[in-house]
Order: sequence, then structure tokens, then C-alpha cells
Amino acid sequence: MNDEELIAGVRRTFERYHSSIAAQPWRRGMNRETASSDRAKGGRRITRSLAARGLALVALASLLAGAFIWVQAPTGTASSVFAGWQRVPTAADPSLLQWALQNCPITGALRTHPTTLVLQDQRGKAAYFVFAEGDNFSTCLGADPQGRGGMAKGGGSFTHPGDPIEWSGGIAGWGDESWIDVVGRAPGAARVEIVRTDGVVVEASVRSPLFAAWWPGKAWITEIRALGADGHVLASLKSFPPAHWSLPPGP
Amino acid sequence: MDVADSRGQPGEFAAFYAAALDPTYRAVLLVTRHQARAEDAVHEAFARAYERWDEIRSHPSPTAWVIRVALNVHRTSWRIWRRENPDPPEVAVVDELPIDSLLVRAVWRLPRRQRQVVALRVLLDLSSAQTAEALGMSAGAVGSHLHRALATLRSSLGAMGYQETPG
Repeated sequence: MNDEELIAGVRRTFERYHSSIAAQPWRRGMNRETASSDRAKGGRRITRSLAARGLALVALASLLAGAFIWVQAPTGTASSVFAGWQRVPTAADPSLLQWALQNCPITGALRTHPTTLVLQDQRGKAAYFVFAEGDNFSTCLGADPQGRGGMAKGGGSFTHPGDPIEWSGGIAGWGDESWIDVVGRAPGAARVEIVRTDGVVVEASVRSPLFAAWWPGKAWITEIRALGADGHVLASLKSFPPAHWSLPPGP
Repeated sequence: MDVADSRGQPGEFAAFYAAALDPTYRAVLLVTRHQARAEDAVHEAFARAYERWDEIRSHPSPTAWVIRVALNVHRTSWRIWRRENPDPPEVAVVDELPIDSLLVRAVWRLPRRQRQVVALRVLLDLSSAQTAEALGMSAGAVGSHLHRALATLRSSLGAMGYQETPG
């Protein structure tokens, strides 16, 4: 097979893939006949819209905070971004929530990612946000918006509704640092504990049936325990696929 | 397409979008190996192109501009690595040739730089110069990566048991 045949084959095979993007760029609140200056304003309109929505939802922070367990534990890392990380959730930072509402859903809003905020898993200066609708979720990590602001996003779907514990987890990179996230569903659980390979037990944030947790480093999961209000184990999951410990390739 | 530009002419951007969306998506999919991330990056890139269309329309290759932005969006925003699908996404196949499923998997497993070059040079049919500019490498490096990619594909197909049918 010569190069031309090979190239033709590659083109032919990949022509089967089609984008499922339904939204169109000019549907971002623009008039059909619009000047270039108006085009430039389009993005700002979205930002303002999200900001307004964020302000309206700040009140949600207090509700969400009620779902967190607030126990101070001296288990932070020396990392600047993840400094102050705790194995149990800390009090939700309303300013970080506002920042997340403005920044996290933008890309998702262009597609069909959920934009309904369900959980804020705050640990020190950084917080992990879960947006969920039905079986779909999207996530976002934000830290220290006044300082080293930034975010990482992800998303997915729960595919086994009805299981005692459903979960999705992965590793992400933030600069030179890595962190693990776990998001899942455990119907009926009042608390969820995640046991790491290094033995540390991480208390997840829970808003039934969803739970979520994250931590710096690369310690993987060995067990997820769903607990009732009285502390008894409702369900336990101890089988996890091996994680692929490499960060996503960048261009 | 019903989008009109500022002078009421038929939507130039809409025509560009319609023609470039799928090829750009395929190229980004090949690089990212993740459908949702590819779609997000591509759409974000087209959204930015739309907002700056008066400037982008005169670019030597608007597609090259979009793909560069899409790859940057992927690199800077989507760092999550969930349980990655090691194989290409399933697609509806109507008339699959024996080589196709092997070939797409072989492409999927190329090194990142080679995937990038294949995506831009082969799928988008950009020139070596345009590919080099978009990927931040020399034109010579583009040629080298493409040469190695094709050699790897040929070797991979053989290793996977593909045999050419004489004639």
C-alpha cells in the first residue's frame, strides 16, 4: 500500500465521524443581522447572563452548604493551589461558587451539558462543582479566584441507574500537580466514604443521591462506602478498574 | 443557512461553518481521542471565530485558525482524564471495508504529534506551512512526523493482520 492509498484510507474511515453539535455559534443571543461590534458583544452578553444567574443562585450556596459536613482536619498539602485541602469538606466559599457559576457552565452551555448546580465540594481554597441533570453530569474544579484562578472541567453520564453505588472518577492535571475526582450516586446514603490506596478515608460531599469528592495527588480508590444516617454500611464497592496514570496529551 | 452578515449578504460565516464543522471535528477527535472534548473544543473555537469573523474571514486559512484555537481550548480547559476509552468511538458503518476498522484503530494509537499532523495534513488537507503554523513546529518537522506516521500505520496494519489483496 503506497502513501496515497493509505492517506485515502484514513480520510475515508474518518469521514464516518460526524459532529453531534446542535447549537450554532450565531445562536448565542445574537440578532440575525448583526454588526461586528454586536458579535463581539455576544460573548459578553452570555457572561452577564451567567453572572446574573450566578447572583440569583448565590442563595443556593447556603442551601448546599447545609449538605456538607464541616470538620476541620489537619491534612492539607503544601501545594499552593491545593493548600488547605481537607479529607472532609469545609464550608462552601460563596465567592468561589459565584466564580464557578460564571465560568464553569459556559462551555457546557454550548452543548448539552447539565448546568444545574447540585454540589460544591469545598476543601480549603479549592472547590469541586457538580452540575447534574438526569443521568448526565459535568464537573469543574476552581481554586482561589482572587489569586491563581483557573479551572478544569469534565463530564459524563451515569450508565447503571439502580446500582447501590455508581461512580465515575479520574485524574486531572493542574499545572504540574495532579488531582483525583470521584462523582457518583448512592441512593439512600446519608454519608459516603472513599478509602484511598494510601489508607486515607475521604468523606464525600453528599446531596442524595449524588456524592462527590476530590483530592490532590495520585492515590487511587480502593473502596467506596455508602452509609446510612446511623453510620451502618448500606453498600460497599471494592472493585475498581486500574487507573491510567498519565495526564491527557496536550498539543 | 439563514445567517446574514452586516450588509445583509448570505451568511458567509454560516457557509464556512457548514463546510468546516465536520472536518474540523474529525481532526480534533483524532487528536483528543474523546468525542465530548472534541465537540466542546470545536464548538468553542467556532464561537470565537464567529465573534471575530470580520478579522478571521481574511485569514489565509480560517480552518487553520479554528483548529489551532480548538486545540488550545482542549489543552488549557479540558485537563480531566476520565476512564478513557482506549478505542475509537463506535460509528454506524454501512459499507465497511476490511481495512477500515484496523486503520482507524491504528491511527488512534499514533503518538500525539503524529496524530496532530495526520489530523491537519490528511483530514483537513492543510498545507505543510499551515500545519506547521497551527502546531507551532517547522514545515520540516511536519513532513517528518507525517512520514513516520504513515510508516507506523503501514507497520501497524501488518501487525494487525491486514494483508493486501493482489490486484
